[in-house]
Amino acid sequence: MNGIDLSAIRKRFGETEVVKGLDLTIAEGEFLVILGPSGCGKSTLLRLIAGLEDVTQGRIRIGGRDVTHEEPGRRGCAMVFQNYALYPHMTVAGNMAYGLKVAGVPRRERAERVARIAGMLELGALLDRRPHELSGGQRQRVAMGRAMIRSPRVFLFDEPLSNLDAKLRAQLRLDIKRLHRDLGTTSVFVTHDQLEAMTMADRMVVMNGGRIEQAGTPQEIYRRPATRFVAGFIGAPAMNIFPALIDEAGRAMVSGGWYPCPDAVWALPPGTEVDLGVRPADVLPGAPAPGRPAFTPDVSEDVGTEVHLHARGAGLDLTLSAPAGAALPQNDFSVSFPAAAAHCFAGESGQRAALRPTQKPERTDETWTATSLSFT
Amino acid sequence: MVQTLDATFALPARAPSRRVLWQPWVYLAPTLATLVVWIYWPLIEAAYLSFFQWNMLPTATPRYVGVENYANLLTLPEMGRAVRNTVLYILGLLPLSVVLPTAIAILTQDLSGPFRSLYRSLIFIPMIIAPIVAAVLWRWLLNEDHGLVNAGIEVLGLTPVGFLKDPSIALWTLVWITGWKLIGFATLLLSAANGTIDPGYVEAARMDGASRWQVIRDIRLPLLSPTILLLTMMTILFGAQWSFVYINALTGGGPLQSTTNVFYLMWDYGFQSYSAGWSATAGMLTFAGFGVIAMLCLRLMKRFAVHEG
Repeated sequence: MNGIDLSAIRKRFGETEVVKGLDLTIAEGEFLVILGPSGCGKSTLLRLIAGLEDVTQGRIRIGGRDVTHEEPGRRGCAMVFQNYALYPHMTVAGNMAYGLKVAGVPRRERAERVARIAGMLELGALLDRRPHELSGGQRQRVAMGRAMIRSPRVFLFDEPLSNLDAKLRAQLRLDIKRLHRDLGTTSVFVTHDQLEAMTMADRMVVMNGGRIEQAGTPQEIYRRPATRFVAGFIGAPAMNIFPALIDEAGRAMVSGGWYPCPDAVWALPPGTEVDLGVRPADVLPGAPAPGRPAFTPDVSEDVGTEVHLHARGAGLDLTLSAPAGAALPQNDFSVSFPAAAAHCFAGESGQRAALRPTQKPERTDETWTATSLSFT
Repeated sequence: MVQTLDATFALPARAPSRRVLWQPWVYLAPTLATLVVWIYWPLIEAAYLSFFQWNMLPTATPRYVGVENYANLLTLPEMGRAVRNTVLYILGLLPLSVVLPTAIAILTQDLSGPFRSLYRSLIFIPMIIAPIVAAVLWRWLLNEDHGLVNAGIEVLGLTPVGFLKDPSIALWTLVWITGWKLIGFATLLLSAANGTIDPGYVEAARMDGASRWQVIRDIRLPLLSPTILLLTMMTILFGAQWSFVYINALTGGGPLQSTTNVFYLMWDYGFQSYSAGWSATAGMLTFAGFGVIAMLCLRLMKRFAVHEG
């Protein structure tokens, strides 16, 4: 049992509350990614789990044991820092073995374990170097080795790939996933990079303003964002959001009397102000028609695998994405999208609204396949 | 500069090479002049004087004596004693200028708010007091009959101590006063160095399970080592010099020459005994001795100091 259980966690720095009453359970062996914008409290949450910060309120359990007031070194967590924090005055071997040395492991056993981990991470030739003699990727692997050597119950990653170039990042992402597959250690990975989050996570937590906006698998979060924030934050290019009003029939009407998704009837009272969202890949361009605003193509971005077209019309911005080679509108066009691709968020908090139950079920596993994942 | 540009425009091919020859020297001249006037010229003059006997009277002619001054000084018990005292001054100062400030810098790193300001003022006040004022204050404080310190000792029922009069204590009293002036400066340097240590290292060590003490021993001290070695070197090279003003003001090298060091002796020969030759000879010997020590120190520093790279 090496899961993590956080209950009613609050963290205040002076007057500022950074984590606002947060509950989260991380299963044993799970690879959980915490995603959020800068200042959302995700790194603080990780540091609370590590014990580098003390919680203001709440309980932290690791493997069923209450560690809320334990020293960081005694929680069984190992951490990989964003800047790696390798001890500059120690060699690679010294860095990796320091935790064992502090724990009083005899010299010979330390050397054996360093050699074994170094073999796994292909660091064998670098053991006598000092951190400033290593490249960014090598430092990152040493930091991984230092975390692995004590066979921790939990790995904590604090944006460990953000200082690397894109190619190396992709490589190390794979390496970390493989290591997790082989070791099966419970891992918490903090990042602001949604591609990293989507590709690595077993389960993902999206945080904003010290709260959890949504927790679920990457697919759930992408396909059924629970709030307006998640909808806008996940997915690149970002989801199109149109401010709309619910009419008598429950359909969402954008100002000017346009119904971009006439099939969808929402379980909301008439007159509710909503945000109607659609992924750029789900937008269907069509010929200009009366009652529908005309969008004028503005800028198109060819990213290789797909093309993004940015358009403007009726005071709205629209992004449309299509597979490379697909025909894109050259002149003014109108848009619509099916009910299955529509997302509706209502109220101050921007909670996801459901379709009217009389309709077909809004989303099932089958209809998910209709939505394509779009990432660059 | 304006001239150069004009010339360059007028004669693009030829002008730069001709001007480059003398122009850097113009810029260097003030610095070079200072070095020559204040360092190299006196050094050469002293080296020259060390082979002569002269009473410093402008009317008297220096008399060449060869290496006699060196032979005399090296066999003089007074000189041996001064050298031994110099070593004692340096050894006595090291705890005050290095060990104590390191401890203070590390222990006070977490202080915040008003405590921090209070401690900083307290620790830095000695640094800004003029040495001669400090000397006078300490003479009053340590006076055997009326001093505050001895009054306190008497209240405790102990016998008063002749801080500046007892030959076995006087040197340590001067070491304390010299060191007391230095603690602030050294603490300032070490606190600054300690403040620049990336907190990430400490956090990584805490994650590795290191205790407070282990973090200090394995992380902070090694990362402070460049500053610690610098202060150690400064104390070794300059410590005995810094005590000169207190020797001069408080004991005059006594009692029984117990507080004389080579710097005081040098001054004593020159300006008390008016034997410029001996003074210059003592100066040259000191220069040579400390020159060798400085080179050793620099080597040690290169070898042992940890740099973040």
